[in-house]
Amino acid sequence: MLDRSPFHKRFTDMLAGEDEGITTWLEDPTHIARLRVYRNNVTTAWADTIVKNFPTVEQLVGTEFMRGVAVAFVKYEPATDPVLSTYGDGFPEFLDTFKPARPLPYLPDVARLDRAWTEAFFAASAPAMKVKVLAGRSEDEVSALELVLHPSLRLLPSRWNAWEIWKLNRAGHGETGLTLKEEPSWSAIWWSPEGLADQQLSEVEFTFLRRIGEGDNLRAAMSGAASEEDAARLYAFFSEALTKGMFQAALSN
Amino acid sequence: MTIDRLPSFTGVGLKPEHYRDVMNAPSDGGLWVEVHPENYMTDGGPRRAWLEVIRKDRALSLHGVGMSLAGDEPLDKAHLARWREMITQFQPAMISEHVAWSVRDGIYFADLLPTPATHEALARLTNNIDRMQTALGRTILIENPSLYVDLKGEMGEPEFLVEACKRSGCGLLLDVNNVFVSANNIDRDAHDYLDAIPGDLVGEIHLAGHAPDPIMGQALLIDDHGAPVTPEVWALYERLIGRIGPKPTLIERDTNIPDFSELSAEMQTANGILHKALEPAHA
Repeated sequence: MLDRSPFHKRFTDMLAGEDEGITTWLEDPTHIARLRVYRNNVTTAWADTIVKNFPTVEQLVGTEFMRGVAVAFVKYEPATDPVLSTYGDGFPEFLDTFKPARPLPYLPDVARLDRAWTEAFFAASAPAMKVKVLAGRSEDEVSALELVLHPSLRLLPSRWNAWEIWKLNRAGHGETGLTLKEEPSWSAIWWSPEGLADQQLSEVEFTFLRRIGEGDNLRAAMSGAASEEDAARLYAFFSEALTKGMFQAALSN
Repeated sequence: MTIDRLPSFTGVGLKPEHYRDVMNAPSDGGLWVEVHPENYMTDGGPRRAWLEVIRKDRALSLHGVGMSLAGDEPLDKAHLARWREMITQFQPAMISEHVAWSVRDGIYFADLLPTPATHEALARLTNNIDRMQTALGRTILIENPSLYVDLKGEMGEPEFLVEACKRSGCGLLLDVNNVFVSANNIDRDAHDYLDAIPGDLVGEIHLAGHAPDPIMGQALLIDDHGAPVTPEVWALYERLIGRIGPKPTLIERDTNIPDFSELSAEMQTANGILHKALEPAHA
């Protein structure tokens, strides 16, 4: 195994802004001015990926602001993997702490929804569980089922009406007629049999799906319903979620 | 291991914007496609589904950008494993990577960074090509870089590349646009460069466009793959094909993606040059 190379060390230092070390490697000393091309390429490739991976954030803040925040982010969290499709894991948390974005407190949650969309988009392809899996089972048997969420399903809680804001802006319509509300909201994004889907959930529906994801059987996951009426509504939601492909399989124990 | 072959016609760098066009293009014309496997190294999703459909009728080339063959670190085993998965799934006719580096100390620089042509760099490169070929069980092609600065070296770039091929048994992916861009940027002769490349090493050719640097203009050309192939690059290509014979040739466009018809027109131009090389010389 060869030792690490002084050239690579100096080139990496140059990318971080220290030009001096690399100059001894230049055949033509005037080429030092050209090294910015490599620095620009690296920053631009990273920042372009962030802009592309968070289109709704860009729609909300405008191209110039988005580019600025993307450049700030990539310096804080450079890419670590040649697979850039999912680069930007830490971007929502970065927005939480990014002072210029403070007047838009819902922005990190919108970024989380963009991130969830990307994760759902690239998730493992899997057929959704068929409704007929439940056929011929008693109520007790159905209640005891442990369901497996579809691998693409992402669940997001927010302190704001983030899904509503995201939904309207993701399609590029702008936020006309939309009011920011500091009221909790819950949403889901997943691959349904008809394509990539998203919808707002109630807190009870959100908790139900979260508990399924944590391994609760159907009965335990439904125990969050406060009344019989709630329980009936939740059962109706379960049927809807099943039809819409939010589950992959059912395991009976 | 043998060098896998693509048809000696033109192929196109496959972009999501053109999935439908390529799927609908006649499959008897020899059109083949090339992708960066890194864009498909996901658990699932429509890109992989499209590639599976398109792959059924066409030869596929996987052209990596993230292996960092000219780097000074061991190759990333997880990345090699993803390559193996791609090969198993998509059965490519050709595999290639760049004579460049992009990974160091856990950071992926998302650019094709240059290496000096030294004996030490040659040993590193050869070692890494050998590891990649062994890990994948396939012979690869390595692509010549486009350079923005002239680095001190101990040999010329053609010698560096040819020697890497000879030592590792890999082939060469000759990017004629890169030869032109580098020749312009660091004052070397593109004809001399191409003439120093043995034709039997060349497994594939890339053609693309470039752009003048916004500050330095024509003195510094940027290999941005964002414009049509220039007349100078077509001339170099025609001369090269005249010497070494027809080779699988790719039209690449990674930015400013045009209508597929524009790329088709460039493919026709290249196919014309390739066919001409097959005709018997006039007495």
